[in-house]
Amino acid sequence: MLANLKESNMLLNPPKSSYPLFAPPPEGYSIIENYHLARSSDINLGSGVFDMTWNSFLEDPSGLLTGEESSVTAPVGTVFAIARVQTRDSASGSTYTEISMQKNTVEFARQRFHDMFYFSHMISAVVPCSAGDVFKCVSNCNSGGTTNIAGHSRFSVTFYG
Amino acid sequence: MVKAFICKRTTDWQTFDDVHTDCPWEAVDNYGDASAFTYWTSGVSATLPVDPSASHYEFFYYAGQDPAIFTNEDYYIGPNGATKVNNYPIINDPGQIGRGGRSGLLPYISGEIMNLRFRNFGSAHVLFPAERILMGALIDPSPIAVASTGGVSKVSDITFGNPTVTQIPTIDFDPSGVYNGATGEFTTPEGATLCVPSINTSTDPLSTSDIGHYLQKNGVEVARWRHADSLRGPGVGCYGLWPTVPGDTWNFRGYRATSVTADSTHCSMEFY
Repeated sequence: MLANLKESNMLLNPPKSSYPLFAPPPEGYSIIENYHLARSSDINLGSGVFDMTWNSFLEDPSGLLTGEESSVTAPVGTVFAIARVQTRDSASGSTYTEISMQKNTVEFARQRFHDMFYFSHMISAVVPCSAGDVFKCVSNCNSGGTTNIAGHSRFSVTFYG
Repeated sequence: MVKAFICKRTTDWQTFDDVHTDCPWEAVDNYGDASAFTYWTSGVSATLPVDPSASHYEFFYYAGQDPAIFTNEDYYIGPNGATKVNNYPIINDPGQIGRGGRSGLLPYISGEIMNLRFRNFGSAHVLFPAERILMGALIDPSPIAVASTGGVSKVSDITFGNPTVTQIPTIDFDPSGVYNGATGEFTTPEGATLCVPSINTSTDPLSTSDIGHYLQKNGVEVARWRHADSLRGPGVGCYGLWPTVPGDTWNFRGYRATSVTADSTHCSMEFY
């Protein structure tokens, strides 16, 4: 019994000397591909939920992004991604705007602002993923409002393996 | 080996009403191979040196106001001001204490200049304590450990109340075992010297009271984000780049003037 209690307590409060629970890769994870998308021009979105689109590609290892693109795809060998989106945007007539990020249309990060005319959203997340997973950003402006996404906005996804 | 630097203040710093000001840095810490370079010497900016081995870098910042001051101010944060090609969104947020962010991974450009610009608005000054204002960069970042609630499931309907409670996220990605689900703590693994904490919470849109997230290191608050009144809802995003040593514990705390239920909470930790 005592042994069990001790073991249970150790699990709940492991001593610092026991960390890490198992060793990370000694050289760390490596970048497989990095995508850095931006807007070179403002874009006006109406009320509702929209996929955000990007028209300036600072880095596109696929070479396939042209025009107005909304997503990037995980390459072979990916274990996880670090995804970040930052927008400079403004809204009118709304009570809130949201920016979120999705993997395969399932939201994994979201940020919402209320009652303001000017916003700068910034979301960052580590996301487990594998080859073929599709990442995109979504803007949500509540009923009656419009959101203007400014040209400074960026969407960066780095795939690690 | 990590290659990074962090510019910091050694004394408190103030911005003044409606004046665009670049934060003047007073010291720099280099990490790993970055010790071979001089990124910052004096003044407001750091410069990426000629480094043929570098391919990418990412820019980070955190700027936290004095916790004792909680007023409705705007302030702007933007590397290289607002006009350079590689600038980033300017922050324009009223009623907050603290803001952090990251640029996303960028192609490495020798000679690139980074600085943080502020403009507070509507009050005489904003005080930034020395330990709560940081700017830095990771070069060719290769994390040795990561953990996240994002990607598989969100933590739904967390209730956090007055004044603060430790948020215990349900981690669904922790390949290096850095998270303790009983305490809500992340522990810096062997070999790590830097970390990047991120958290976001989307709350009930009808809630009206202050909301905040605090970042704690070894049980002591090191960074804080808080929004007042109308700007209710979102979390800080990214707290920027922080120095750490193996065995450090990190956790997030939620603040709410009145108890509230969050739609979703997601957090991530990266160790480099």
